[in-house]
Amino acid sequence: MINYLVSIATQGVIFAIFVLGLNVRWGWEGDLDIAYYAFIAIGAYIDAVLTLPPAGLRPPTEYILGLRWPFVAGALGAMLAGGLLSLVVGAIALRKLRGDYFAITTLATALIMQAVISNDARIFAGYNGLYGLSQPFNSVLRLDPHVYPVFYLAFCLAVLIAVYLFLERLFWSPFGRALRSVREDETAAAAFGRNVFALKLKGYVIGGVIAGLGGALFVHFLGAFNVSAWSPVETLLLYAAIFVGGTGNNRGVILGIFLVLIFFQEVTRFLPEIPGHPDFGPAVREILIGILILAVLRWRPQGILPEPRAQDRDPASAAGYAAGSAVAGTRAGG
Amino acid sequence: MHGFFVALGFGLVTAAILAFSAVAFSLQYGVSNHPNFAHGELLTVGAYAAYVSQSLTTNLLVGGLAAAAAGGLVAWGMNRGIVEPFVRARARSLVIFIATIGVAIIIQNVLLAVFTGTNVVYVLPQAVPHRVGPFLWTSRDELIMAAAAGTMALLHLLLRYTKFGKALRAVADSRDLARVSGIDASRVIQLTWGLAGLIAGLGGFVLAGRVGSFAPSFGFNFLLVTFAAAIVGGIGKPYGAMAGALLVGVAMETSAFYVAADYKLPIAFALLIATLLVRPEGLFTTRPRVGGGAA
Amino acid sequence: MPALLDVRHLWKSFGGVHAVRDCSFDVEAGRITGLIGPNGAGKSTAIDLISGFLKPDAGVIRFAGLDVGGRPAHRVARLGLVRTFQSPRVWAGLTVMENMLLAAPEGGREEVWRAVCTPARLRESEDADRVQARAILGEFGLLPLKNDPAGNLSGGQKRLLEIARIFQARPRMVLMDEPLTGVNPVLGGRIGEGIKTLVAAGMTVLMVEHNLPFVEQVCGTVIVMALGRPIAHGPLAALRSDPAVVDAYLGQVPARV
Repeated sequence: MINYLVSIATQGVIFAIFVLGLNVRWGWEGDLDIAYYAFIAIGAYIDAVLTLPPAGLRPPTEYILGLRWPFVAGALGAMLAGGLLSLVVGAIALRKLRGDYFAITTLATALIMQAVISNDARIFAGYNGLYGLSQPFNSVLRLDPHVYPVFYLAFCLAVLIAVYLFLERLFWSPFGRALRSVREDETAAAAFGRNVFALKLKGYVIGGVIAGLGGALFVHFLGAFNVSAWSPVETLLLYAAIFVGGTGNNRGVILGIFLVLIFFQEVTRFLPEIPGHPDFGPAVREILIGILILAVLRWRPQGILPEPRAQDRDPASAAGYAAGSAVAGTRAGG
Repeated sequence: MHGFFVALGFGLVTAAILAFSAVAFSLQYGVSNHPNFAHGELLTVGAYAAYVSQSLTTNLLVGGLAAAAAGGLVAWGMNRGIVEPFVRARARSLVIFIATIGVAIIIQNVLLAVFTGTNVVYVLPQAVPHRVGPFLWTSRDELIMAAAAGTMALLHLLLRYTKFGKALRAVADSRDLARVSGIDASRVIQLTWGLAGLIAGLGGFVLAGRVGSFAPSFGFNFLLVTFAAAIVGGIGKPYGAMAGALLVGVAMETSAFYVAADYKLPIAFALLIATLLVRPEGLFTTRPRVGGGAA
Repeated sequence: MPALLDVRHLWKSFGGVHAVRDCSFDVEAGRITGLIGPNGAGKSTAIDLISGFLKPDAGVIRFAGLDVGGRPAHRVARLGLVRTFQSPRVWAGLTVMENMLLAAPEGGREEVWRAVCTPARLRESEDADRVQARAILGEFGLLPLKNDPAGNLSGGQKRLLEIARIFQARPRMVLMDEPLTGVNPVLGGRIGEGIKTLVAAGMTVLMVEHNLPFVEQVCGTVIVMALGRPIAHGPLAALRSDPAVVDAYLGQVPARV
């Protein structure tokens, strides 16, 4: 029982990291990126081929690199990969494409990458995928197999907190504000000196770096990784979390992911098993996600927690403020 | 060189199938102005409808009609049930687009729950290839191309000579202008979705016949190729979509002659991306988009 | 006095239609110049070209001696040439104060690494901006609304916010595209006063506007455009009797002063 809870919690924490990165792209920037999972996947793959032993030792699987590096190096590599891929895709897609065309372009790019990776088995072992990943830090810690998952959960939690604090600081900074102004009105942003493309690209890369980091954590959690992980459906769960929890709100999206995950875990548990229809449970789960997204978008698109509003706190005394508004009061209105 | 013509022949068949899907998509986009991400599901629904009807009767005509009817009905329902309420609630265009993604997921998974994920087999008779000039076609291929040509011809007649067709073109051109001229734009949009669904359903039918077996994600996998053809041809223009289908279909198949066949789809996607970046109004439009206004 | 903005032989066409043809004019520093003319005269296009939102087909645009023709909009803005739009464009989801803080892209303040490494210093440099912003908002009667989303403001208030934002930015020149659009006519005077204070503070204004009484009140001089190029330049009162101007407007110029 404990193991099950730890596993669910770890998955939730890792997905929360995914969702924070996606929130930068969709919540702060307003870009609909349907191919976000591709950046998670590239992080996972790169971390895997950096931390696994050389492919030659495990025929018939083939993959590049295989440097047997420690987890930290793998994670950094994953973040770099996510960032670089974002740079390439963003440079192509962010230039002048309107919202839906941008989404389609990102999807097309991700599918091209997926095709290349599946078809050329020499890069990441094609359709078979990679497996046998090590447990981060365990060569040093040598923890009991029962204890390790708890450690890993705590570690992922620490990463989540670090990412959250980083993003909070970014959100309230002039950069975060400039990015949100681009989302609100690109034309006005340009008219006031913002390089819209450069700002969007920076936000996009930040989202990609976080996705890569999440991917590295995820691949060691699963112990393996496969091309089917490139499915756009996985991204939908993340979007559902953002819509439900609150677009643009870091705390909101974390809340959203736990709600959505727990909700779907619990609901699918009670579904009947229909003989001959093994996909029934997962299919219903997806139908419910779809309905949830439609419902939230229709009736509460801003989600549970709306985007936090910047409050300007006037250090001048309340009296000064009142005096100011008295003067303004005679001219206020309109 | 001979192999090239065989590939070209395949390209024409692919183009024919693609034409159904791309033209349907362009019709719907032309009047609605937001892309329907669940468009692929219309093909899937059509294919499954044909499959179900095959268990009742092997008559191809019935299969085709069932596919068309199913596609039309589902498309009409999508618009009435989902898109229209969002439009009335003044939702952002991007939000409506996301909503159609939700619809796509729901339809796909309903089919998954009902029919399971294993491929259902849909075999049409007479699959023996024979030589026609430099091309190598089966009578199935020829039927598909004939059906495509016939449907396009009928559509052309509809658009040019019927009242509805003219109203459709008016609404696609400018919804406000059409309204002012007394056209009931919402009704035209509803009927256009139905028409698009009909054609897409037929497209699913022929595609299923071509590939022989399919699963619920069948139409969705065809979605981006459809986008490619529609965008290359000029989004929202049915005639352009026909040209786009031809270009993309032929490009996909002839490229397979030079590169491994697994890269057919990526080639189509690369065409899509290139068009969006370089000439988003499509390759076959004559007028560049008018930007800014004179004041 | 050398012209702050100098436009020479500007051309721009869309799909074969010339919106701006061989257009040349200059704008003196420190004044409010109106840009008027009938519909289709090319006024808004000229503004788009000067502010960098459109690329000219041919011609030279010189601002403060620098050649800015064809430069992207954000570069032009950073050189001190800012603009407003036909509908008030404020950042609706951000607060009024945030709109003010975004007025001027302070060099390097918006870098990601600064946000992470030096948040304290950023906050300090912003505090000075906040003090200034509060003062300006106070002048325009918007201070009580400083923490409200800008989207909640009325049309007139949004226009005032636009002007307040420009005050915060202190550019050298402002291009205004029909500032009275979307504004309750009662507020016209307020807006006019706001624009005059911009000039009093040392900025130059070039304003496209259809409302001629307003133009007369606010602008010292006007440029009349028709069919893509200027046809007259001078105080509006004097131009009312100019046959070329009357002709261009086909009687749209009101008879009374």
